[in-house]
Amino acid sequence: MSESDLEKLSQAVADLDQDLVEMLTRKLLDKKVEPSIIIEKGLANGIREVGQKYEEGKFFLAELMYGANVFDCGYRLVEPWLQRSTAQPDQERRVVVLGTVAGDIHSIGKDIVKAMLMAAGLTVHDLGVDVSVGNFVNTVRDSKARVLGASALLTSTIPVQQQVIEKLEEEGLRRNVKVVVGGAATTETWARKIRADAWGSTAASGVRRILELLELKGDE
Amino acid sequence: MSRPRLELLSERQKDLIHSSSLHLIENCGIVIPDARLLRLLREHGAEIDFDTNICKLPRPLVEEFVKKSPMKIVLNARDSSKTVTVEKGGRPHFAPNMGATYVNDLETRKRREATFRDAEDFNRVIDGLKHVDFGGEIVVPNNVPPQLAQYYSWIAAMKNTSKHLIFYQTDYHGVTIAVEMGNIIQGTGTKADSSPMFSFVACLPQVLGFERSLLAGIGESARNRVPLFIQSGPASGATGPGTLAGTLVLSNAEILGGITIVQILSPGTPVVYMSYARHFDMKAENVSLASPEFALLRICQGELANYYNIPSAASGLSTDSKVLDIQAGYDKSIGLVSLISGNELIMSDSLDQGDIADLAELPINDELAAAYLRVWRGIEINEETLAIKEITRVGSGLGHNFISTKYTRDHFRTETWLDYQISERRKWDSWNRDGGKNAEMRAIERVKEILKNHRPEPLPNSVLRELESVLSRISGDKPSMQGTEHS
Repeated sequence: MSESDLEKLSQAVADLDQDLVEMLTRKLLDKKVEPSIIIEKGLANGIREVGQKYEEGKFFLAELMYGANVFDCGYRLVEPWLQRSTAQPDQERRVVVLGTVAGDIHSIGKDIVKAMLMAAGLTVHDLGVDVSVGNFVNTVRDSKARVLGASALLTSTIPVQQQVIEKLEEEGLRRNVKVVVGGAATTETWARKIRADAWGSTAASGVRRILELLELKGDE
Repeated sequence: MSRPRLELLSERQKDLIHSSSLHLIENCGIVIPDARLLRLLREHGAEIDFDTNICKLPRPLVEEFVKKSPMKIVLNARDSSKTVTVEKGGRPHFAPNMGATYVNDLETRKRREATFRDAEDFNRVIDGLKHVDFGGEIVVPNNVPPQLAQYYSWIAAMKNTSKHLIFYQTDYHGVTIAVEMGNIIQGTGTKADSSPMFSFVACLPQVLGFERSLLAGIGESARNRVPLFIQSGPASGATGPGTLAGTLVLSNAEILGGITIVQILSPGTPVVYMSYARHFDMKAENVSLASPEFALLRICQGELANYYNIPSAASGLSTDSKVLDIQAGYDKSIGLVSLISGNELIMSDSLDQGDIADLAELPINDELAAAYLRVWRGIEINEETLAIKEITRVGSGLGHNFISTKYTRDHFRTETWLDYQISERRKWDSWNRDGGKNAEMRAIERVKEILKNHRPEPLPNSVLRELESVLSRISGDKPSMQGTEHS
């Protein structure tokens, strides 16, 4: 039955069972279950449970990150079918673009943010490392993302964060996207100087700022 | 002297780690984003992919060039009496912290950003301490133009201590500046016969790979015979695989790859094997520089560096603690582990894993260095020291003791360490009469005493003016700045 298969998929994600996640996802797609439902009730439900266990201290960071990985394996199988169905109405406001700025190859902090956001049910477009200003801006435009997170760990690369904000303004996109900056080279003073919307001192606080900006969490 | 030695790996295991590292270098390859260097390596038999910049070094090539590393390194000081010779298997030496951007203020004991004045004070205190053998890039000042901060840090060191200096490897331009400054101080206009008064720590920041600017800097350092600490520090679970053994193999591969390249560029360059292999603590969501895992990896690095016959630098006077408290104290016990594992240079990461420097930490490190050296010195065991005659002479029976004998008088000064400055070992009454202070308070007093009374050998005014003019020239040039790794 599809319903119990969706529950099994959710549980497979929560159990970090990559093989089972892929198997059940394929099975559900074959049965023509609505792709957005596979994602929401199967995959996303599971990753939210991973996030919950992490908050409770039952899972540590490695499990959270691997969980995001497992979620991704399932998501990539469903994604090609997504365009053909209607997206969830409130999904638009849950899109975040992440990247490490051009010239910088550090990724772990960004990957932690990504995993935590996915666990909170957001859609994350991870542009990877060494991301150009143009790439950031184009992705924000195309994905209609509401939040952009840009990470810089080298003092020599933080200027790119400023350039991204300036380019967003030039392209008339700044008003519709919140920009959060982070990375060990950044400070609150810097974030204010470049008129970012928020600064994350750690991955976890960056995630809290993002959720606040998206009005998804009011308790910080 | 019979000296203690910690061991963990069997000969077979060392062979296995060695061949696993070579396998990685030969099959995964190392990213080297420098076409000219890649062509040179290809001439030496390496397999190159110019699209990915991946260089696969064959096993015999690595083994041949690693062997060119000297077993003895001279770390020159502007005061030649402070020059240190690091010899494989020889007396260990101790280095200070590098790269802190904050300090815990000596008066308020609260964290604040580091200043140029701090950079000067730290080197000055080190100059006045007996067992910390090097000054250097201890703190990075925040009250100077950021792109020049590293150079200011160098000048603070050069001015305030005449010991050998340890800096962070920077790009090509930075190396030429360091060499120029060194030459100004050493009074030689061209590349010196005597080696530079500084060395560089070259951190390899990515898995099996070099950054372009770092490579260019390393090449120039090797050309100038600057001693190079080839440092790799994967963190198990994050920048290294999920096991300690795997992280050790990766660290070893990165260091061997780095040493091979340096020796190909300039055979015989003095290099130091510096492993920073550690773990990423999934509960703290941070690395740790003072854990049981950290201790284990320091033992292994000592054994591997011995396997390769290359002097080794290992952290040990390090702490994860944010303040100079009991944790800072017990964290630093790992310094002893590092020292009796065959590492010749014991490095220090100050509070908060090297991010916060604390002047009061310096006399503590100095004290521990002296204590650990006493452990390293071991126990002299021979017919005379076995004391059969003395014991027989004092005789069996209650009420006999050794405290007033000539034998005791002849031996106690060499057998026991008396030169400690911070440790409180007296009876309670004595301690209480002197104010009942804890170790942190005593360390603060000691630092204040050094700051008040110690004057390092000054640089002549003409030299200072020349150094300052180098700085003003650079501020006009707007040089590229090697970023500082924080994570």
